[in-house]
Amino acid sequence: VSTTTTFKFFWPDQDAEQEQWLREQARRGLHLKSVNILSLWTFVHDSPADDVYRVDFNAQRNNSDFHQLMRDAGWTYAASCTGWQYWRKAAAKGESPEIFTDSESKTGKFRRLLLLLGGGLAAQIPMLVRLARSPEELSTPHISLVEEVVIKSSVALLLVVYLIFAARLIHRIRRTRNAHGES
Amino acid sequence: MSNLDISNNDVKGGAGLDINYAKYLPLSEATFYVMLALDGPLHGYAVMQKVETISEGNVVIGPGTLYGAFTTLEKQGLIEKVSEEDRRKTYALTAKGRIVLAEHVRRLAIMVRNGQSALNYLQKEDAA
Repeated sequence: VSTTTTFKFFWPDQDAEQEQWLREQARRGLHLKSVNILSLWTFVHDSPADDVYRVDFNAQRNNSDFHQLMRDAGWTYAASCTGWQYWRKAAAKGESPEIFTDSESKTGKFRRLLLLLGGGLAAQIPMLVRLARSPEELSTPHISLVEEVVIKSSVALLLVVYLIFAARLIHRIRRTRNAHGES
Repeated sequence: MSNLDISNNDVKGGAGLDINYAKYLPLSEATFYVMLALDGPLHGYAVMQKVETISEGNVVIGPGTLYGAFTTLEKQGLIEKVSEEDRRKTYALTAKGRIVLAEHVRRLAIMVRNGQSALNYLQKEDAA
């Protein structure tokens, strides 16, 4: 079986964009086999098919009864990566099947991710506080100015990325709720 | 005498349960149909199919949404797991679930009556 690996980056709120791209790949005969944290997507070459893809985020819901319900409803587990789960189903003519059909459950994956990001950030607050102090108080006292700048700027960059992630997720949740006529 | 009792929000249910309807009602259209479908024991996918059929295609529930609805309804004590076979959990309404459903239907009937009489009135006005 021949495979192709491609790099393509998506923001975590771009589930619809990922789903659309994976569907286009399947129509060209490239079927999702795996994806990793570096945004490297591996596809298996096979005959073209019109498959619908849906992305879910749930680190906890790896339980077998949910997977059984998904299989009963015609979905196949295609791949997973750090809590993201990719499901595939052959598109019946004119239909676009959904895993989630109300705004509460549609925004669930983004709310779970936001909570996880918030928890991750909170866990790093002690380290951030220590870094903000003078280098003499760090456990490695003989730190050069260059090293200090490198450390502090990479932490600042990480913080900015965190905030962009959070802002995009909050915007995505609002957009989904508005589309369902809720405030 | 019994009519006076119904005006109270904390109604003693038929099974001797104290039910605060404000906690559960109104049911969303999807939740309403899930509860209707569970008038007898059914597993998840059968519920999805039954809801689509009895709602005449108006309500389609995805498996992820149904899974969440089962979890919520079970926590609320409105449905219960009756069996599990080949990883398929079968659920059915509880006595409390039946009482909540009946109260929802009673309120729906009032809404339909009011809606119908308003429409009739508007039609007469148009004709005049």
